Amino acid sequence: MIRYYVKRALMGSALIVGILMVTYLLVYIAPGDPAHVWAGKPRGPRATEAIELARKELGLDQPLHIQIATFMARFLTGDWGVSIAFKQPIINVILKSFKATAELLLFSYAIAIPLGLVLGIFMALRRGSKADLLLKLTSSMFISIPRFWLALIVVLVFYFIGFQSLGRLDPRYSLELREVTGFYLLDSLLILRPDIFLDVLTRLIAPSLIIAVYPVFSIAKYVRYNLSERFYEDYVIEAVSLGISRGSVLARYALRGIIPAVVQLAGINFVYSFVETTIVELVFMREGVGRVLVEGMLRSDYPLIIATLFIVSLILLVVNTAADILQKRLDPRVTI
Amino acid sequence: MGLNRRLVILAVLLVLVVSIVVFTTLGRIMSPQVKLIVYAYRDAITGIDPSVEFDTGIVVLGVVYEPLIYYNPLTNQFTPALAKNWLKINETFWIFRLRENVVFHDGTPLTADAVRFSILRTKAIYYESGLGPGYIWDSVEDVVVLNSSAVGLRLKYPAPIDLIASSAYGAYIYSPRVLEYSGARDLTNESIRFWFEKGRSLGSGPYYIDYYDPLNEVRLKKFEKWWGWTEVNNPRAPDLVVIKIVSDPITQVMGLRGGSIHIAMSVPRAEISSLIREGFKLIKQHTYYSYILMFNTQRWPTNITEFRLAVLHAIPWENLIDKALHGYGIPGSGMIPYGYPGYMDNLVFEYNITIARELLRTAGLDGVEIEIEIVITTGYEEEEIFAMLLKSELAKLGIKLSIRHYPWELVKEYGAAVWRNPEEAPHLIINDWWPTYPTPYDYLYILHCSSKEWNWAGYCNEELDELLDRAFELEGEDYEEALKLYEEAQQLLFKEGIAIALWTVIQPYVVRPTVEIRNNAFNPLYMYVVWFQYVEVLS
Repeated sequence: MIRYYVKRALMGSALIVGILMVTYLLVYIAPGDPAHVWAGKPRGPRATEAIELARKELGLDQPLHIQIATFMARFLTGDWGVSIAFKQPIINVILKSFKATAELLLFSYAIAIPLGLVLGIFMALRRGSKADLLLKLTSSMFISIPRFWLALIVVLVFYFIGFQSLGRLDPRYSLELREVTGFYLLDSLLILRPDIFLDVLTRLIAPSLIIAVYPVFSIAKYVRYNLSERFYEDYVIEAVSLGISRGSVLARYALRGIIPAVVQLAGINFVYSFVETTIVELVFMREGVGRVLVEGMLRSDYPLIIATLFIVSLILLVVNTAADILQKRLDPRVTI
Repeated sequence: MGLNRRLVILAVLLVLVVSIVVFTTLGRIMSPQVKLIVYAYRDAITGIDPSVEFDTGIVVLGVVYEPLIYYNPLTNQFTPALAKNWLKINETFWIFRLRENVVFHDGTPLTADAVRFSILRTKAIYYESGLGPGYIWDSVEDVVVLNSSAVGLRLKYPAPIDLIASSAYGAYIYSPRVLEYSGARDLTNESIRFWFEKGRSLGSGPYYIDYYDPLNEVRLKKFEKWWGWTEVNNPRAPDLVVIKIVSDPITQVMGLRGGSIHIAMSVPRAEISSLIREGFKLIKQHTYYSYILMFNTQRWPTNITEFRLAVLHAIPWENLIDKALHGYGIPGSGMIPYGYPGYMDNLVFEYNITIARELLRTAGLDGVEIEIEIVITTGYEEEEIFAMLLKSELAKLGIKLSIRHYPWELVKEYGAAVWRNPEEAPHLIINDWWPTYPTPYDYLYILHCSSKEWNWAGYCNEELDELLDRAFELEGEDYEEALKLYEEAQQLLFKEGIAIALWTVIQPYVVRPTVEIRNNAFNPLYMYVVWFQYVEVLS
C-alpha cells in the first residue's frame, strides 16, 4: 500500500510539473501581452516604455527556457506572486474562489450520489416497466444536453417561479455574513443566522442541480445495470427462494457489491463536474474557480491561470486517488 | 407499524414546515433595513490605486475619491470639489484654495500637503515607470504648499490646469498617511500600490471601500463624514452600494427582473423597450466613449488614399450606426466626440456611390477583385452588427470583407502589429477611446507618429504631428487658437481618410422602479461611474 502511495505521489508530481510547463508554453504561444496588462494598459506618450519596463519586471524579456525555469523555481517554492491583471496575491484569489466552487461541488454531490443510487435501485427493481423506460429516456436526454444551455433554462424557470438563483448571497447580507470558513452555508450557521442560511441554500439549489445531472444519471444507469444483473445471480435467487425479501437481499448483498464501483465512478465524475462548474458559475453569476480562469485567460494573466490549473489538477489527483483507496477498502478483491 | 411510519413522516414534515416558518420570520426580524443599491457592471476591476489605475477601476475610484474640481464639457461648467475656488495668477502659476472640514476616510483632514503628495506621486510614478495617467501633470514643475488650505501649482509651461485638475484619471487627492500605513519610504514605493490593491481607500468621497474582490464584487459603504451630504440633501442615498461584476448582458436583465440588480449598464439594446414597458426606467448618459475605424495605411489596398476615400464614400455611415446601436450612439463627425472640446460639426463623408466608384477607378482598382479584413472585439453586440452591415455595403462596391472577432487584448495586438508587420495587421480595425482630461489632443494623439501602441493605422505625418504638438503647447496660453489648430489637424486626417470616428456611445442604464437617479449622478468624463450620492432608494 505504501508503495502505491509513493508511486501515485511521484506520478502525480510528474504530471503536475508537466501540466505547469505545458500551460506556460500555451500561454506563451497564445496572443496577448501580459506586460501590457501588468503596466495597467498605459495610454500616455510613454506607453511603450511602460510596457517594456513591465516586460523586464516580469522576466518576459528572457529566453523561453529561462522564463520557464525561473517561473517553476518560484512557483514550486511557494512564491506564486501577484495576479497580473488584478494585483491581488494569487493565493488569496484562488483560495477565495476555490471555497465557493468547493461548496457548490460538495453540495451537488451530496444530492447526486444518494439520488443516483435511489434512482438506479428503483429502475433495477422495475426493470422493463414504463417507469424504467421513462427514466432511461430521461437520463439519456439529461446526459446529452449541454450544461450551459440547461443552466440558462433553469435560471429562467427559477426566475418565473419567483425563486432567487443568481449570485452566491443576497447583497443585503453581504455586510452581515462574517466569513469564518468561507463556506457560506456553514458560516451562516456558525453566526446563527438562519435567514442567511436559507438565502445561501436557495441560491445553491439551482446550480447544484445542473452539476448533479451528470453524476445522478450516470450513477443511476450504472446501478440499474449492475443490480439487475445481480438479481439473476444464483445467490440472490436462492436467498429469495429461502423467503428473504428482495429488498433485504438488495440492501444486504447486491448493493454492497456495487458500492466500490460507484465510489470509483463518482470520483471520475467529479473531474467532469469540476469542468462543468466553471460554466455553471458564470451563468449563475457565482464567484468561483471558473470565473477566475475565464478572467485570467481574457487578460493574459498567466501566473493566475497556471496557479489555478495547478490547484485544480492537484484536487482532481487527490480525489481520484482517494476514490481508488476507498474502492480498495470497500472491496478487498480490488488491487491497485 | 404502518401507522407508526406515517406518524414519523408527519412529524418530520411538521418540524420541517415549522423550521422554515421560524427561520424566515427570524430572518425578517434580524435583517436590518439597509438602503442598498446593486449596480451591475460589465468588466472585472483592474485596480484601485488612485495614482496608477487607468482602466475599469474608475467605476470605484470615481465614487471613493475626489479631484480638486469637476468639469462637465457638455455644459462647459466647472464645479468645486475639494477646491472651493481657484485662480490663475499668471501663465505659469495657479492657486487652489481648499475646502474646509473635509476629512479622508481614515479621519485625517484634507490639507495642502495631501494635494501636493497626491499630484507628485501620480507624476513620479509615471516618470519613473511610465505607469498610470501621471503624464497629465507634465506641465507641473512643483506643487507649493502656501498654507494648510491653499496650494500653488508652478508650471514649466502654460497649461489649462483647471481642466487637468478635473481629469477623470490621475487627479484624485488622497491622504499622505498612506506612506505610514503601507510602510513605504518614498512616493513611488511599490508597497503603496499593493496597500491600495488590498481593498483600502483613503479618499474623501461619499463612499469608502468596505470589501474588494475585483473579479466578483466591490462593496462601498456610505461615508457619513463626507463634506457634501448637506449640499446633496439626499436622505434616501444608499447606505451600501454593491458593484457586482456581471459580464453577461442577459444575466443582467434577469437580475433586474428578479430584483437582485437595481442598476444595469449592459442590457442588450433590443431588450430595453420591453423592460421599459414592464416599468423599469431608462437613463441615457452622454459619454465621450468613441469608436474609431482605422485603416491600415501600410498594407495594400488600404495604403492607397483613393481606395480609403472610396470606402468612406460608399457607406451610409449614419444609417449603419443607427441600425447597429438602436439609437444609442451619436454618429461621429471629425475625430473628436460630440460635445467635447474640438468637436467639428459636419466633417462627415457624403454617401455617394458614384464618387466611390470614380475614386476606385482613379486608384486603378475598378473591376479588381478586392478582399479585405476587419478586426473587431468579441462580445460587443454593436460592433458585430456594424461589421455585418459594413460587409454587405462593401459588397455593393465589389469589395469582400471578412470579419475577425477577437478578445480585446488580441485586438490591440493585431492593431499594434501594423508597425512590426503591416501584413499581419488587418486592413480595418475598430479602436475605442475614452478621455483622461478634456483636451482634443487625447483623441488625436492616437494618430500621432510616436503613438506606436495606439496608432493602429500605422500613419505617420510630420505635418500632423507638428500641428498637434503646437496645439497642445498653446492650450495654456491661447485655448481658442489651440482649438483652431486641432481643427486643422482633423481636416488633414479627413482629407486623407486615415480614420473615421464611427460613433460616440450613449450609455443606457436600466433602473428598477424603486430607484430614482438624479440628473447630476453622471458626468460624461467619468465613464460608467454612477455618483451614488445622487441616487435615491425609494423602498
